[in-house]
Amino acid sequence: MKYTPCLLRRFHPAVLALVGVMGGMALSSPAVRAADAAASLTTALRARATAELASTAIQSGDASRGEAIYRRDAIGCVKCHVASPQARAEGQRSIGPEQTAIGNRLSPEQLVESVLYPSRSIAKGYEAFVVLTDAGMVHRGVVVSESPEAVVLISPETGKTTEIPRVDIEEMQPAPSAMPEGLADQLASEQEFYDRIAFLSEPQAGKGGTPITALGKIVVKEVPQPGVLHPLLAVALPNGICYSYDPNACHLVSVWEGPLGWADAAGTVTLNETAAESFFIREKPWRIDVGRVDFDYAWLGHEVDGDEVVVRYRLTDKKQQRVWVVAETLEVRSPLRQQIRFEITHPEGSAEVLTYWLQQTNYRSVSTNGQQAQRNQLEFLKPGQMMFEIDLVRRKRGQVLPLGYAVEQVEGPEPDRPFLFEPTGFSFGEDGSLFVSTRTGQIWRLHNGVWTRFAEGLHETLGVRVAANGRDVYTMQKPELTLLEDTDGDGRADVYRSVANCFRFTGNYHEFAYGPVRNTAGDLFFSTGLAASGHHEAKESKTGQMSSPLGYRGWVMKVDPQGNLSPFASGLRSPAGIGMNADDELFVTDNQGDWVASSYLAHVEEGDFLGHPATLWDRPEYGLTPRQLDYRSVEATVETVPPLDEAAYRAERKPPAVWLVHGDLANSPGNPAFAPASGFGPFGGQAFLADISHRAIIRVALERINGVYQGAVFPFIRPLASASYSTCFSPDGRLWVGSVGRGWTTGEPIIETVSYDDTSTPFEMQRVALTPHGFDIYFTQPVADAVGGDAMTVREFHYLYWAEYGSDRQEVRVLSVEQADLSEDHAVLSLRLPVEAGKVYELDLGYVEAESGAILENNVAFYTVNEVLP
Amino acid sequence: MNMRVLAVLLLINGGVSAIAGERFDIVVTDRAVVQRCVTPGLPRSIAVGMPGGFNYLFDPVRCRLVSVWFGDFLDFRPEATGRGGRPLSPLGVRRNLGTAEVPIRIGAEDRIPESVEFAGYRIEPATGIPTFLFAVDGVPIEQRVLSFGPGQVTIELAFPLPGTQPRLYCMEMTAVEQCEVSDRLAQPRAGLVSIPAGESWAQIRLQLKPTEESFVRQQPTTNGRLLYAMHCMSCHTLDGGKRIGPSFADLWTAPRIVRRNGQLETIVADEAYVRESILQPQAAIVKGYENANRMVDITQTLNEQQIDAVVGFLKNLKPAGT
Repeated sequence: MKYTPCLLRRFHPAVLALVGVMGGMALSSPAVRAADAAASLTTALRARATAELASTAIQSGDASRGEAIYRRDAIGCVKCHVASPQARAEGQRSIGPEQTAIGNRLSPEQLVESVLYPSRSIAKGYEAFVVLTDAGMVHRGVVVSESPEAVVLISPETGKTTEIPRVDIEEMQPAPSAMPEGLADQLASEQEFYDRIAFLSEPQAGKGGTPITALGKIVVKEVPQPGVLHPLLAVALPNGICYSYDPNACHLVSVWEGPLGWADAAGTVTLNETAAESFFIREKPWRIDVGRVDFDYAWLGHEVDGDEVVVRYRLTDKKQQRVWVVAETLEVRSPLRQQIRFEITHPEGSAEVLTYWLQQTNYRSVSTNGQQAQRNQLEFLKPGQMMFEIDLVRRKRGQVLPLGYAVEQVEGPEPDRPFLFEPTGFSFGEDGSLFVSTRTGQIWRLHNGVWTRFAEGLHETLGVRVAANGRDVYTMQKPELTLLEDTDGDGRADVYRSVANCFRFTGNYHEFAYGPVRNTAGDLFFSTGLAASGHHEAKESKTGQMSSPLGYRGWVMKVDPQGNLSPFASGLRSPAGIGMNADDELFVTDNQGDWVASSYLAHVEEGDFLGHPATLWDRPEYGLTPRQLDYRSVEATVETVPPLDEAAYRAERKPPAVWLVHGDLANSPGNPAFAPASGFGPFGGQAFLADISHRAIIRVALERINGVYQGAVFPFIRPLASASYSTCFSPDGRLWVGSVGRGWTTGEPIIETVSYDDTSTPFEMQRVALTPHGFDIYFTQPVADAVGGDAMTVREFHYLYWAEYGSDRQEVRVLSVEQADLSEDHAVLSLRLPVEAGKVYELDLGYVEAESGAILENNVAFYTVNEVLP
Repeated sequence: MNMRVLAVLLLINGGVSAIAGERFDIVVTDRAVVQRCVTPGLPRSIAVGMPGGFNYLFDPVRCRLVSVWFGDFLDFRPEATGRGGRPLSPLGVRRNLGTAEVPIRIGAEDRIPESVEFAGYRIEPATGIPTFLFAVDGVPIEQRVLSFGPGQVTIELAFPLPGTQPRLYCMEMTAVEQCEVSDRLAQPRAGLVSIPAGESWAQIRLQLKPTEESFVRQQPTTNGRLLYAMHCMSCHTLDGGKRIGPSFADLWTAPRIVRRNGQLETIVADEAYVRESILQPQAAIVKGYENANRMVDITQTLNEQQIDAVVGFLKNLKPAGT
């Protein structure tokens, strides 16, 4: 649960209420489902398993009939989804994503889902927002960029962009999918549904004609485009990868594998663009500074230089008519990795900063040799910089799921409205029954396949824990840690016992409380989040800060077996995950924001300060908060607070065990669940976390160096079906994952389980160990010979600890690996490179194959170094 | 005023009607319902709704009955939508019965308690009725609040350890017309009930005054422009641009040809036509849009007032070019 700056602090209740109706809530409502009852085909199809529909479509769907249906007016697909990139180039605007290449992007199951449930998953770049300004104006569109100062929306319908200063924004909320529900009802028969899915699932590569490939030598084709002056440049490289460049807008368009396209008898070229991935670069991407001055573009032509194409163009600033000349080259290292290089001739005496503008991208990472001040997708050059490089690392398509693992959905109960089943926490009892807390304050129990409601009427329960007696259940409500007792043993709680309530709660929506977890001594721990606004902020900041009403917000609190509540550790912002490993060690995750450079996982010991200074006023030296609050002090707030000593808290701050690298791994993580020693593959004892934004599971392998926790974080499964948040291992070794996703992102509240089938061995980096000379990477399967060398990239960076919202990676450096040795059994790769405390190391192994032939899909690890070895 | 009239008045003021937002109301049927939540001014509220339309708020910090209302229970929309966590609105006129302080005193009225410890509540399995459990200055107390008729509130206190000191209960009396207490209890003055030492049970019966206030439910937004942007704009432009459905440009002035029951007819839009188009989009379809995507059933999303607001917004559209 992350507070993003895009939603401002002033909420108009009416707007919020409205947005509630809109914000996807209605999608899962029984009322809406009931309304569908009359609409026969959609209802009939929704009643069946998506997988079954998809497989029927593949077996019995007729793609050519499906194409006819697709073009049929009444269905209207073509009204919103343009047929192809060409159609887009001809100026057709697309309200929804292009459809012809969709079979390359989505599985048949996903296609079935997107037709039957349009709002479940909205394609990246098509999620619309509605922004209400103070002046009462309403803007609707897709966010193309955001900064602390402004939000830029593009209307999918008109293509117009609107920049809205944040100070003017009263409210901003996601809008539902523009795609109508019940589209299947406009089909004549079930067979038509299968035909249509079959058509959409067909990869749309072959168009007839002679395929154009590079055959050892670069091929450049000029492909005329309607309505523009210069033909598109289409380049096939000897390594089998192709790309296109639009000279009219001076930007790279897309990259793909396979033939460049097909030439017919008359020599007309049809590009293989349906296989293409966008470069996410804007048309005419150059600006001076943040766009104060625009350029006129003049195309100077292209030339082939060895295996590369160099394009040249001239930029003339519209104010002073000064001239820059740019030579641009693309190096395509692999389908997933490209580097754009610019050689820039500046006009005499100019010292302006040029910027290069990307679109909202789905890259795994973008890095440059510029100023490292990426903001709003603008890459900043250094003043007068002549050689500029942009390194692009893409994500693979489709789901990454390690070998031997399977993801399944578990059918949840359907609470009576207005309550929802949004699982926020899991706990298993000794009899195998599962207790689940929900965001709307109920506790459900799953026993022998039957769901029953154990407790209700609670206040935003964000965690649950079966008590030591195996019968009763602890849960964390916003204002109270509560023990739910089933004294008559009828499977429903009848005493709701208050265990701890003497921490401040002022009613701000962001004052969440998470937990509890319990150690073997019987101590319980829970964590509290800061308020979003309304109280004391630690320091002025441009991007706004979380606020403390004091009274132990932003703390981990401890309740001993006698029921005494005491403050345990401070410095948390929005600590949405708390967990305990098998050795009774406590871990907390926090969410990126002010004073939190990136989401992290921290090892928490008594007295620790984890970094958010607004929590410090509760410490005894300030005399503002009693160690134990009572009925008189629990609600009292403090008018003024003294300044904090920044040098002191900087020095005191305990760094996280690992950074969960924002952007790459986690933007809003939930709790760590520690895997049992066996039953979940070769990862016993490691932490698994779900992330709401990435819809992903990540894996953390910790080690202690000089007594301090640090280690490596790896991607594990991505994406899951929904906005995953809570995790827990069941006694049989399955990982249970609950999805919420209301308010920050759109997601269906569901439960998924991840299970391991012990007949196959995954191929993953099992762990990364720090050595005196670098890192040892342990693999779960022996690696084939060729590892390391050019395919591998190691980057070093660090983060800022500051009052602003998050931190970019600082001083990103590509390190050269001095030596890479594979152990005799091919299970350990030793890297020799310089390692410094306080840095994060991205170990990107590139293409790695196991002796078994398996490919390392999760080929990147981020190792946080707190301590080094002598 | 006789009691019957009073009862009717109270029920009317309670405002049972719930046209808007009923999908988010917590509905009380045959069992009492407890819901912890934020209410305006009381972050740690415990709301209780009883069958028959009696509801109250309990404050677990000072262990006091804060207020009661008659009518529907709670609108849960602020918690169940968006980011949640916003104050819930009681669906009735709140009548304060609690003073700002801890209502129960041990020994003497002016003895401010050293400690007030909320211990939770017990749910009676058959009825769902909660009994609040707490201790004031170490004296354990159990409290139930019930109602035996319109405007009637009964506070029951039980003392598992009867003790040797008298206990006092303080109330806010502005809404109270009449106060009766069980045997052996005394009312030294209005708003103060004295329970003698050794007594293990006490009952305070209140009859409330009728209230002049009437309850108005907080509505979801009825900003027509906002509703248009969220629900209509992706298919219908205001400027004549063509999207999935016809534009609203010149909606009220330009004649348009529609197909109704298979027959073409020329009409100029009026409010009835616009309303029909929203409520029954398939009834009359603008020529050229017969094969377009069917319009969504907006009544699943918008309530009547919101639809009125959209119609109102469309009504006030200026003709294009002005």
